[in-house]
Amino acid sequence: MHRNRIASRINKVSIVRRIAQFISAIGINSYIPDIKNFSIYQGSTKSLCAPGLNCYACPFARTSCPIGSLQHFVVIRQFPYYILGYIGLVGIAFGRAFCGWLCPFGLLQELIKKITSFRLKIKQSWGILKYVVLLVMIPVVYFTNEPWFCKLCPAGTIEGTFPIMLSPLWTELSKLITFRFFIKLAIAIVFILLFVVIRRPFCRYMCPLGAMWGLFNKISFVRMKVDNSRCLKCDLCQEVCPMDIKIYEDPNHFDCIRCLKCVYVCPQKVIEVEVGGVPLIKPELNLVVKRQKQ
Amino acid sequence: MRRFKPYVLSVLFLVIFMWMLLKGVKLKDYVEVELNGNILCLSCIGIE
Repeated sequence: MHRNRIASRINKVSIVRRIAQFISAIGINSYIPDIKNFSIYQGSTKSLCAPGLNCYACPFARTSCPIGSLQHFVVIRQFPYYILGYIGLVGIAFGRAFCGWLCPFGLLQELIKKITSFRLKIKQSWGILKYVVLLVMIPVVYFTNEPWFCKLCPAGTIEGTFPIMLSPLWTELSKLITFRFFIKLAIAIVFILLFVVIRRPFCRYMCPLGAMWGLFNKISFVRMKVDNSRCLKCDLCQEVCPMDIKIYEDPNHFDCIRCLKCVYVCPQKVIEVEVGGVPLIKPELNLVVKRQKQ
Repeated sequence: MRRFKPYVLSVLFLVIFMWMLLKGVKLKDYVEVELNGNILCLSCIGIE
């Protein structure tokens, strides 16, 4: 009964968000490779970065992975103006909203989580791990001249390796397999299992792109606002949050992906969305609740 | 006016990142991104 009430409140915004996620995932991965002369997409849209983590080794991908491209620029010793400009502009405009609304890997994690309602709760402070990944990644790539994040990334295995394993190209590529392939495979399998029991674990603990966009949450044009004087601390916001945040503790927490579920589930309607200081979404308090308060 | 004060920093960063993106476009960084994306990333699929 309680769950049904929550579900109906967040239903509309969840549907709109899910449609946006699917349009983004299908749009980014809309290339159909020729079965006989198999090759990945090679065209001008590969000069654009995906609005999230989407491996460019995926046979269907029409765009480039921002993190893969960033590492490439580090390897060739060229300052990544284009990539950092793109990441920074998205971050300053929307914060981590792209993670919640457009990232295909985020969508995959949310869909796999639907298998079971069991939820393993992990301390929010572990979110600092993704900043460690980001800080370690850049010097490691710089000094080894190898894209180490790509070499271990589970998104690459799920979006790139698995589809390529089903293609005719794999007959040749499989001859080049080394021990590292099995490490990468093991990492991906561990993450797939974690997707079943933890909400968006990769986004929360590993994603360097989410880490960068998260830094902008407090200064982005799109911001969340909570009226703490009216908040009941009922934790319904945390219950529906894909990132397990208590939004009243920090409305612009670096993990908030602006999915807006909390805005609609809040019984007191204390959560608002502002764009440049102007309220964009300001849910009205239910009349019944208003009368009860009076 | 007070409502917009917290966004001064946002505008400053917006200008900086806009400049970075335009500089990247001017330097044709996107060509490098395209060339890199057009090659099958063996690191991504785990065999290099």
